[in-house]
Amino acid sequence: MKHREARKVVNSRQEFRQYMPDLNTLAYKLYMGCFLLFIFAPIVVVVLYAFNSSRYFVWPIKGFSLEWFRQAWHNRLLIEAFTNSAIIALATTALCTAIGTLMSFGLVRFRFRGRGFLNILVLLPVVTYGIVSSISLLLFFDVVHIQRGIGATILGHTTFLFPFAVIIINGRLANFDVSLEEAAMDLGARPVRVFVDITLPLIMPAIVAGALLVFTLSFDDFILSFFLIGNTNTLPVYIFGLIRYFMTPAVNAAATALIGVTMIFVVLISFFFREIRTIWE
Amino acid sequence: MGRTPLTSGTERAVERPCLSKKQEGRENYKLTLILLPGVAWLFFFYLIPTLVMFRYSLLSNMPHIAPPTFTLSNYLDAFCTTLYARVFLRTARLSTSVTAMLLLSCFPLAYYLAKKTRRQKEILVLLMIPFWTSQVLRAFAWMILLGRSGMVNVLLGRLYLLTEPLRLLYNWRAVTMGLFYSYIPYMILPLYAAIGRVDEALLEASAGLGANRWQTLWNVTIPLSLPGIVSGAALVFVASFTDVLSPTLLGGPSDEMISSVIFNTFTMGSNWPLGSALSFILFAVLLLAAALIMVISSQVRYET
Repeated sequence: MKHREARKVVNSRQEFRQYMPDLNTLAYKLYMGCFLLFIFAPIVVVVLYAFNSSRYFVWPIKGFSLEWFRQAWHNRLLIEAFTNSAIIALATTALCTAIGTLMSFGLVRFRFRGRGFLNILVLLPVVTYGIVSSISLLLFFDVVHIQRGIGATILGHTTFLFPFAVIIINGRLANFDVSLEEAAMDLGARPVRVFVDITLPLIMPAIVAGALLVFTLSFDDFILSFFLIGNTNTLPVYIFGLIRYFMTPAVNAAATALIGVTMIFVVLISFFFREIRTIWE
Repeated sequence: MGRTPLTSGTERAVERPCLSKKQEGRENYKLTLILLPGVAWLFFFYLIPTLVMFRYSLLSNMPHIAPPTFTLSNYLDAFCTTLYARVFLRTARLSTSVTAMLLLSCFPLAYYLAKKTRRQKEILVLLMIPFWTSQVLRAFAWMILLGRSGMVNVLLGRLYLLTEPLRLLYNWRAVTMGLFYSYIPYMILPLYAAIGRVDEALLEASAGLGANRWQTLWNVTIPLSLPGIVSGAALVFVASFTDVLSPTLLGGPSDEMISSVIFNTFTMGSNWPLGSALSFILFAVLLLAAALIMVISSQVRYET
């Protein structure tokens, strides 16, 4: 009896909802739309001014021109900064992936004294990534007389970015079905063979996701590079110098090219999206 | 689920009945080899530099000018000068307001994503696209938008809302805008993950028991997504607390935040020891915040 009454209540609620939700989801959709507009507006504006024929950042834009792309292309400093960024990001990614994978393996698969401590220690660089870490590395390199430059920047980036790789790979390794490895071993495979044929392919998505994340973070890093790069530039450092004192649409042109490249990366990364997400959880 | 499929290797190693001394030695050897690169790296490029910074913060002057002596005066300066106290307070105020604004504006979005739409993945990828670009570029974009004859001013002027252009750039509003924009993903992703884990049946049960939408939200959804709220707020707060680019590029001279003060000490000023002291204080604040967050989030998780 009671049950039936409860049912009725629920039914009437559902009937009620049939009219209401439209308004509700409409509000949600409207909000989402506005938010997306807000998020994309700055990026779109950067791209628009790259094609502007005027050199001033005045709205509305004057006319179409590819002049700024030409200027960016012929700007030797810009190209050099871009090359430096690419070299640093590639080297950092390689180092971080190797160190991160090993470290994650040790942390997840072994139990030893000091494991809890190490688990926290590995997270510290993520917490202090930014101005604090840049200053400490700047002073350290100064004290031990390591020349600032591309090499120093790679060392710095690796220190603060390989923990990101560890976090991502940890997520995958912790949910790893060990019986697969056991089966392979029971069938007579040697440990190295097991690792190469079973373990590695299974954690590969996490490794790739970690590598992509590290590459993007390294390529976009401003603060570490700013203090460690010395006489030359990385792309974000160069752009920072330009926009702080003297804004030119050539920056927009370079940015537009970069955004294009980033889009390709985003498509790649979205394949490994699950792994990227584990970092937030 | 008869057997637990997710036993990790460590537990297995513990359960294993008996390891001979030789095997154990081999395991240890392997472990050392695996951990050595990472641990050594952290030791040389993380722990030692931090100590170097601490040592530097105790120096009385730059070492290459005159032989320095050890002193606490830099810390006294940092704590007792109203300038730095004010900067710390401003940083805390800005970060708090940005965190609150992001929490309020992103919660409905995350809720919509997690519960109301089937195209979550597409929308999420779309939402994240702007944030894969460099932070410098994003600050630059706001410089263009908020400029004196930038789009915002011109559009507002065209609506006849303005008689003369507003000064939108180089003040604390622009800094807040920059911080808000930069850290949207830090808020949305944890919220989305947490709300996604809230059991649909509980929401239906709440509605079935007569709660209206707001009661369900307040008594069921929000308490259950508290872990996401805590970690999102923590990420945003810490990130904006240490942000350099927004205050340097979008703020005026009176909108310095602690990290931009440190930044300027090392780029334009030459009092590195004082800069190191400020930097070390910031380091301590960050560690404290991280510890606090860990404690709170573990507590929150136990309650739910």
